[in-house]
Amino acid sequence: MDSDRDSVEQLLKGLKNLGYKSEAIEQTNILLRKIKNDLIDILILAVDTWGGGHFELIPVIKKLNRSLPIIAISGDDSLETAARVREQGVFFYALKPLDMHEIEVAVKNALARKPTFQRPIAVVRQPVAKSEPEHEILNINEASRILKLSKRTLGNLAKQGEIPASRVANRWYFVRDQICEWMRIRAAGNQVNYSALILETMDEGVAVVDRRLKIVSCNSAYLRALDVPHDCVIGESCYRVSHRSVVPCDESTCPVRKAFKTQQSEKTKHINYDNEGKERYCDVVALPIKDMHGNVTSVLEVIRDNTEIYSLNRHLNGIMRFFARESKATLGSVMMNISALADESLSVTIENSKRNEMLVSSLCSLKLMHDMIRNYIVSYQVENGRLKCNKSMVLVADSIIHPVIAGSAPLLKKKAINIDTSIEQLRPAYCDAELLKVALTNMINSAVKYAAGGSKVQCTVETDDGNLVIMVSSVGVGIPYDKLQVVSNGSFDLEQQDMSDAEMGLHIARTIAEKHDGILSIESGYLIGNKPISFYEFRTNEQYSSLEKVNYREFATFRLRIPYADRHWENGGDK
Amino acid sequence: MKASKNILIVDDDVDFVEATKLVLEKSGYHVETCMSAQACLEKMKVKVPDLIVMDVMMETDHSGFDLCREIKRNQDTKEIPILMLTAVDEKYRMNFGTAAGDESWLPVECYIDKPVEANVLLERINKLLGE
Repeated sequence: MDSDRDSVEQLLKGLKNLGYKSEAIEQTNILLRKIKNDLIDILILAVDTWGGGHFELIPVIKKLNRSLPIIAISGDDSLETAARVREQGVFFYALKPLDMHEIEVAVKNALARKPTFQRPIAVVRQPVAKSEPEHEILNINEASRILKLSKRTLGNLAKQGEIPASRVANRWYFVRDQICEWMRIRAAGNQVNYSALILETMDEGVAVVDRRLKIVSCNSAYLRALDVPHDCVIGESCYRVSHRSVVPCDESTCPVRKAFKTQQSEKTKHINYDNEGKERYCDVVALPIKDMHGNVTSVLEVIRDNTEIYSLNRHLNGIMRFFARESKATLGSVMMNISALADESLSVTIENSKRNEMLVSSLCSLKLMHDMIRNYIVSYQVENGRLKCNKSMVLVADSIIHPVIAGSAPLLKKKAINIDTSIEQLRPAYCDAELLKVALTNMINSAVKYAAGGSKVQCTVETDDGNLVIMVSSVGVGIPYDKLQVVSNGSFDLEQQDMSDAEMGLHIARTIAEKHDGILSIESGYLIGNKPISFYEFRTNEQYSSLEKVNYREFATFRLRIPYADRHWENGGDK
Repeated sequence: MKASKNILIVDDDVDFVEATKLVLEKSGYHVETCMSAQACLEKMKVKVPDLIVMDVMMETDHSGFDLCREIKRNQDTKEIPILMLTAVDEKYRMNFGTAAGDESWLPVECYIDKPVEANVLLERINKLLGE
């Protein structure tokens, strides 16, 4: 193969005279295809054909057919070119002008060393049919069709070394099986990327753990769940990452180890703690990943944070307990009253005044039940951080005080309690009227609970040092000292089975006060004359400790104090 | 005659006691009430009722259980039929209906789950008293 016509003709003629069949090939792809298809016994290659010292074709040829003898010819007699040609592993290197005798000896020797040579008469043999042209040499057009890539893209990939290719005379050439292999690897690479993407789209923390319990992949949620950086996870033992332990977990408790053993999915419950020390209730699920033979090669560890579900369950359980208890106990009197009134034979025996009492009593029970349901809902919102405080400018007396007192009428009537209200001339307050109505309702319900029948409940609303103060007080049995501590300072716990409605209501009122940057203070003690002395003071102050408490009435006072939001006014109010 | 029968209601739910007392009185029974197990035992020392209507939970979760066992242990009161009313089966996850009558566990003659309608309560009471 030579572009030097004279040399080519000299060679073809000389070889023919020597009895060899020879052929001149000008196109590289044809040459490479013939080599791949083993149609050539000896290649005589003009290495300066490619100009500028390009010897790229020799390695390609060697790759296609390592045993093909190459006789390189060149017009460049420099030692540098000779050395570079020799480095490529050619059989013989001849300089132009060609010495046919020299070529004849070289051809003879080359054929003699070629073990499979049968007919030393030709340089080019007749084509032999090949059933699998996987080693076929492709030009960029053919490769482009196979790979379904544009020639430009394919050229860029070849230039960047992304795809196996050879550049010969400014053209790219490809070997079919090489580009097919490249396509397979690339597809596999894409599969890996899809796996990572799928992991990443999962909200749950997910890691892939191999048989040595090393983490080979994980998603961001996993890193967040365990609060560890990516660099410290991949290749690390799962027990080091998840439990900060230097030894593996016991097989009986570790779902990952169990999944490797049982070859089935395994699950266990964990309580983790977040950065704030709050409990997170997690299911750790281990899902075995099997190879084509059914062997578990790795395990997908999924951390499902079920804290919200757990919290919801707690509340649902609380509400179910509440309904079970209240529907049977609180509704007990309602059912008895209403069913008696509905029973014709019984009803006729009941006087009108009694009928009225029974209806009021029932209405009162239902009202208290309504308030309790509302408190449960608010408590759920509080616990989940979903209690919204939608503040606006509110006329306190009209929007809060009067409606709540009107709604408390059945309760007050049942215990024959009057309510005295004292409301200052108030300016509008910046608050959530609905939440303050809940708080005031709970304060009144508690005051009535601790009031003596036939007594009075005092409701005072006033301005005090830039604060709106709503006070509800009653005289009666007072709040037992131990309960006072619970409602004043105790934390709210829905699972506390014996928490009374009043306790829950006061907790809710306290939370609502805090939502308004205010406080709820609760006092109970003895009225000595008109002077209220707290139980604590009565116990600890010598002045009172000697007094006989049986002589004094007990009081309960609930005081809600919230800022008037003057800053809001100063800032121009709602804009 | 109903007028000669005395029923003692033992329950700390004031509203329920009031409502039940009214229903039973209007049906011709003489009714006394008390709100604790101790008060019940004290009342029975003065006057033995013909039937006791009792709640399980009063001062404590077990007050009613303890009280009915105490009544059944006493030779003077063991024949008094007890009708137990309660709302605690959800909490204890047990069937009080089948446990009622077991002398070692719930020695009561009848058990009714709260809330109960007036006519149902009256029917049971009448039956227990042979009315």
